[in-house]
Amino acid sequence: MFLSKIWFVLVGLLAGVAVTAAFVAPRPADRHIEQLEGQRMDRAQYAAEQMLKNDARRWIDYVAKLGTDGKLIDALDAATRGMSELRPLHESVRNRMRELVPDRAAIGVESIIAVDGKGRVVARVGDDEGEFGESIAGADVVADALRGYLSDDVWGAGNRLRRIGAAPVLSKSHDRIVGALVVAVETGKRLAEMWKQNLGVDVAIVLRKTVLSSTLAEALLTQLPDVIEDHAAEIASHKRTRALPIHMGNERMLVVAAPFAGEAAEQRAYYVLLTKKSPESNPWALLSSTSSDDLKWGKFPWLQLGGGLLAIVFIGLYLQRIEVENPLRRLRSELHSLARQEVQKIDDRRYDGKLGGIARDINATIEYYTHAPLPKSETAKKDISAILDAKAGAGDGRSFDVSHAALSKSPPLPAAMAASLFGTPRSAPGLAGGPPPVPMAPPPAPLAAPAPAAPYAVAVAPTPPVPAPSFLPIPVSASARPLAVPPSEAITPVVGSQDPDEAHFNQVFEEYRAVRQNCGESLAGLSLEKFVAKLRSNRDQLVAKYQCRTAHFSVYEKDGKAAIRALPVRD
Amino acid sequence: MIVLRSRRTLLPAAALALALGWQTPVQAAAVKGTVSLPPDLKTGRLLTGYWRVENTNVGVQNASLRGGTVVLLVGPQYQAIPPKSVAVEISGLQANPSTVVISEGSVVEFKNADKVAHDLSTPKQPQLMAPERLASGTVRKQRFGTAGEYLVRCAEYPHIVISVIVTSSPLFAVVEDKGGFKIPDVPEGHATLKVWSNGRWVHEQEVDVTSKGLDVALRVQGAALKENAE
Repeated sequence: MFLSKIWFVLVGLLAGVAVTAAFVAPRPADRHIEQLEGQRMDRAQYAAEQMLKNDARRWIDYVAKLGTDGKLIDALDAATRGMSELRPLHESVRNRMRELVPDRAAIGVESIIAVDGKGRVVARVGDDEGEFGESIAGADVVADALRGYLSDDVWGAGNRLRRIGAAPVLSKSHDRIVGALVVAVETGKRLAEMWKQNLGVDVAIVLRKTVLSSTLAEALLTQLPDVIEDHAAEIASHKRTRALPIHMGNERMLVVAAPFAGEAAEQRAYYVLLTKKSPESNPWALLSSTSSDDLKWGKFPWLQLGGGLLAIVFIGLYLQRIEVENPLRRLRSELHSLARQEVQKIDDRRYDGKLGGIARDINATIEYYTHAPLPKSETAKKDISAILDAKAGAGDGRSFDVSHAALSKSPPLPAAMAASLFGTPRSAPGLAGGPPPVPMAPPPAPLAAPAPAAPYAVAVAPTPPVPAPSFLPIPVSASARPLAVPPSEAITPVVGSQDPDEAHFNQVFEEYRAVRQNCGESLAGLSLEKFVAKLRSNRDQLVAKYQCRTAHFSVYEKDGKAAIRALPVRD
Repeated sequence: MIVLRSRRTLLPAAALALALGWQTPVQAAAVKGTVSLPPDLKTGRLLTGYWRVENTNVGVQNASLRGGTVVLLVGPQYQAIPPKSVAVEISGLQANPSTVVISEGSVVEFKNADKVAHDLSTPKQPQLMAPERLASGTVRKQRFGTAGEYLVRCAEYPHIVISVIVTSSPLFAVVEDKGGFKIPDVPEGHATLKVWSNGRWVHEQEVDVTSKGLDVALRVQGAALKENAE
């Protein structure tokens, strides 16, 4: 068993290493993939930032070019000088801007605002086209334009995000500023879709904890504003977040958020780039993501794997065979020989470990039953029926047929033991050899029939204290339960035979009759033949069970009734 | 007789002169000077986009300080000024004045003269002035009971920032567009000049005010500004 155990331990260790490797090995790959995905998101964010910057410059140049239109210059100059009513100027400027930008919606322009040199709105196209006359000179980008700067900004007013470009409008002589043009560009769904096409990642635009637009379903983005707010400090210091893994529905996403420039940064306006994260590389996920192509002969080492598994199994089976099955087979063979009395004991030196222990135990048991005296404890304070039949003896005082109990149970050892060991009931008369030879009990030949043949019943009664004998008697009560046994099945006493106990049986019968009479019990149905046959039967059973020479019966009175006790006699 | 008469006249006069001499307050003088702001503050624009380039034809003009720079003198004894009401009008998407210095308990009335609504609040002290929409043409009154500096911001137009400096000292002056300032009636002695601009203290300087007054040129350093901002 030693090698088998070692083998099982080795196989267990190998399995443990394999399982550990299956769970641990994907981790470095996961980290590498995460790193690559993070780098990809970094590049995407950088590209997005550059696109925003380029767009800003493009819109500044666009609006600066618009400001070179002669009609606009004249109208704004007139408005600045106050040379004309504002309304006619408003209409002429608005119409001119409509002519100059006919495809406003197509190019993503939400509105264009023309202001005079004082910052008053002269005209708008797009949003609030009818509104004019109010000052927006305080807006940074407008103030800058009126001072001569071309600049950009991002506005988040009205729960809308717009990229702003502004440029001064110079007089025709290019010596003074007569006004400014401001363009507001859509910063929502259109921008997100464009970025998704160019960057290959999903995009969401967030303003004041509200997702304004996204290329993903907004239902998935419910927790996104909170995630960004949690990283507000990081965004403030680094102008972006690192790639953040978050769960959106059933998806694992990687997210990078960065603030818009200008005023919108103060309004917590962010653009967020999102991409699906690679699935986790645990063994189950890896298995579920394999394809049939991965398991083809050329790609998967089926031969090595199968060979290895078969080798493991065969080695284990071989070790089991040489360490367990073969010794067991030998042991069974020896036990068969023992049962057939071909050997006196098992050669326990041939067996190791537990099998050796079993062999030694069997030898010790044989030794015990062939040499040791009958233990007192086995018969102490038991009546004869209990001695003859452990099952009956364990009863709780019920009446039973002593003949049946005695005759139907327990073949003598070691035959019973051998039978149980071989798994098949097998009668063994006893050991012919062995140190020293044991005289086996003679077969109960005189009994013509088994248990039901008893002419009377024997009641198990509490045993009175007995001073010295090693066996306790069985009280026999003739009046306990008469047995209705057909005469043909009755035990025929061996009258006049050579039974040495015949005289003793007759004496017991006489004593029994006398005691019954004294006790006032009926003598009807009590015959010598049946009585002697019963005593003989009980004697034979005791002799067979305890290998005693004979049994001695005595009559006594118990609870006002006659009873009989038996004492095995060994010598 | 003449001597006696002159004694009778001179002694009370001398005593009166002595008494008056003891009771006369310390000579007050004016502290004046100029404040030079670094370029990043002169632009008057804190929230910039990606680009801010000059046109190639017309020279750019300096930004107006819009009354956003204040010099405060800290240290000398002063007589506290009583609370009062101060009006700030928001018009053309800008607040005028953009900085107010008031005494404790004063009330600032914010009037929205724009066509659009403004959401005013003190984000750093939300318990003082919670966000509230100020519709066009309406006024919001806010009492400032505790000394300190407060920034009232508009959530819709973040460039609108109103600085409210609450102090009972009368020793302050609003810096003009050209950088000049004058604080009258400053008592003699050691004092500290502090400059507030663009929503924060940008300069601090120890000065000794004499009976003749003080003329000082305050040069705000960009580096100091950065440190202060941090």
